[in-house]
Parts: sequence; C-alpha cells; structure tokens
Amino acid sequence: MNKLLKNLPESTRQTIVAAFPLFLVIIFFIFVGKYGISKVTDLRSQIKTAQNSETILTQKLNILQTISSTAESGARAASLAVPATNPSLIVVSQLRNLATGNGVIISAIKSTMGAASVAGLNQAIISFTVNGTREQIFKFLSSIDKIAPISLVDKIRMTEGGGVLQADIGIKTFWADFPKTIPPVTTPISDLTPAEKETLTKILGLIQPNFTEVTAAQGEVNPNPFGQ
Amino acid sequence: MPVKLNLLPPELAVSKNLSQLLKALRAMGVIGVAAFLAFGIGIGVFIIFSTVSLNGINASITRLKAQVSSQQKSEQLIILLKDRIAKTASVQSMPGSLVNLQAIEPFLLGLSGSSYINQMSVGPESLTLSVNLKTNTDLSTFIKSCQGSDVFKSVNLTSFNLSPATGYSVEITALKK
Repeated sequence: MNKLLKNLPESTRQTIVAAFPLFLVIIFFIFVGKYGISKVTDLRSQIKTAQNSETILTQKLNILQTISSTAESGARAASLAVPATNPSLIVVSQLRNLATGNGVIISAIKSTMGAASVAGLNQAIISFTVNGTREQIFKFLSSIDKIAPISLVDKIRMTEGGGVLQADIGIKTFWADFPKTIPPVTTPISDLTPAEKETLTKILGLIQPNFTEVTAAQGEVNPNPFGQ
Repeated sequence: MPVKLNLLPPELAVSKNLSQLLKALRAMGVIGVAAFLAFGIGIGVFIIFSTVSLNGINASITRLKAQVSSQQKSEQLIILLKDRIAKTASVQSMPGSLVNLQAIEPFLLGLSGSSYINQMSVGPESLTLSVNLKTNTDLSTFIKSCQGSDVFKSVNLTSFNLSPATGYSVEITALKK
C-alpha cells in the first residue's frame, strides 16, 4: 500500500490520505445505519405489537373479572332460552303449565322437525289445539313468547261456537349447538353491548322450565334382588 | 521577527488551493468520525433501552396471559352468553303471528257475547277473519274499530252478508304493517 502510494504524485497521495478517513466514515455510516435503523424499526414494531397485546389482555382481564357474575346467571338462562338439543319436550311441558295457568284445555300435541338449519338454528314445529273462552285463549297465546325455550307462534286458526273458542296453533321452537372453541388468549373480548344487554334482560324475564330431580328411593337395599 | 522556513523538498510541496482542500477534507473527516461515534452510541443506547422495555412488556404479557387463562371458565361463559344472545335476537327478528293476533285482539274483545268468531286464520304476514255479529251495535263497533285503527297496513272487507237467522257475517283480510 505504502509502495503504491509512494509511486503516486505528492498531491494525489496527500488527497487520498486526507480523504480516506472521510470515505471510511461514510462507509461505516452506510453499514451501521442500515443495520441500526432496521434494528430500531424492528424493535419499535415489536414494542408496539407487545403494547397492543398488553392493552388487550389488561382489558380482557378486567372484563372477565367484572362480568363473571353476570355471565354465570345469564349463560344459564340463555342456555335454557336456546338450548343445545331439541327442546320440544320442555316446550310441551311449558305449554301444559301455561294452559293450566290460563284455564284452557290443551290437546292433540304433535312435534315435528322444522325447516333445515338457518344460521346455526334448528327448528322443531309443535302443533296443538286449545279450547277455552276468547279471553283465556288470547291470554294463553300472548304468554307463549314469555316462555323458555324461546318459541315463535307461527300459525293460528280459530273457530268459535257455543261460547267456546277452539284454536289450532303451530309454534316453532329452536335449538343450536353450543360454541365448541374459544378464541386465542390474545383475542380481545368486548363487554355486552346495550342491544345485547336488552336481549339478556328479556331472556332473564322468561318463564323458566321447572326441572324436578328424581332422588333414589329410600329404604332397605335388597341384598339378593334376583333371588327368590 | 520569526521567519517562516519551508525545508520540504520542492517536489513534496502542494499548491495553495489543494492545501486548503486537504485541510477541509481532514476537518470533515474528524467531524464525520465524531458524528459517526455519536450516531453509533445513540443507536446502541436506543437498542439497549428498547430491548429492556420490550422484555418488561413481554414479562407483563406472560403474567397477564396466565391470569386470563385462570379466568377461562368466565371466558367460556361469556362466549356462550354472547352466542345465545345472538341466537335469541335472531329468533326474535323472525316474523311471527302473535303481532297480528295482538293487533286484532281489541276488535274482538269488545264484541258482545252473542257475536262470535266464525273462523280466523292468523299468519306472520296477514290474517283473515270471518265474524258473525248479531247486533247492529256489534257491527258498528267492529266497523268503526277497523276504520279507526292504524295497526294494519290495510284492511279489506272481502265479504258482507246479512241473514235473519245468524245476523251479519263479515269477513276481512288484514295485512301486517
């Protein structure tokens, strides 16, 4: 290098020697700058993502801690409003209770499968006949949308004679599979919207079915039930 | 008085202009090195602080994830609740016949005991009612109720008969509003 420089004219040699540090600094700036700036950008993006996740998790934890008591009672009532299996038997029981409460006679109860599942909702159609006075029948029909599982009055056909009204009624009742997966832990969760809270209030106001728990019979256990 | 002596051989001497340029280049080199050092140290410090900060946030995320996972039962309940609420809202938005029945109810409950419903079919979109009215009062009450009511989109009188034995037989078709 020195030999090469010595062969050059003095002015060129001195120019190279003076410009070399500047040239070196420019090269370093380019390489260090490229690495440094990409590293800084990468770190900033990682911090931003991490901060977002932290915010989401903090909000999620707050919601989970505050909503848990409402969620438990609400989920129980909502699961009875739209159960996971065909609720025809429960609806029939509820209709019988309503009929007794309103003093009407219910008969000819039939249940059939409804139309194919729409938006995850399965339908069963329950048809039946009720006899009673005009006021009793109207009151009975108006009560149908107040029972759980949720039922929709589809068709009504009425005839009246001798002070007794007979109504042939078709109602739809619904069920849907429960959700099978929960989203990843970093997925945000939102509190109930005002519309959802309103629907939940309606659900909580529905007439819940009575389930009777059958207990085992008391008494002595036969040690040899197949013996003589 | 000091005397300036140049003892360099004449072949090593450079012109005055080049000398100034070389001086400027040397100065720029020194400034460049200083700037580079400042830049390098700045980036290094920033990277160290950012890494420490990132590690702190990641530790916080790990702790929060554990806390959220411990509340998994609540999360399952909320997801179930929201799903059932959506399904309930979907059912409630479906058309039903009860609205039409509740709309016609005041017309019928105002009638006297001698008048009766001959036949009534109520569907989600419309209803057809055939009613036997024994007295003129019942007839006028019923017609006035139909005229004065705005609960239906339209009410059409499809049939009107008078029989001395059964009284007035009125049939209407009403469309949901």
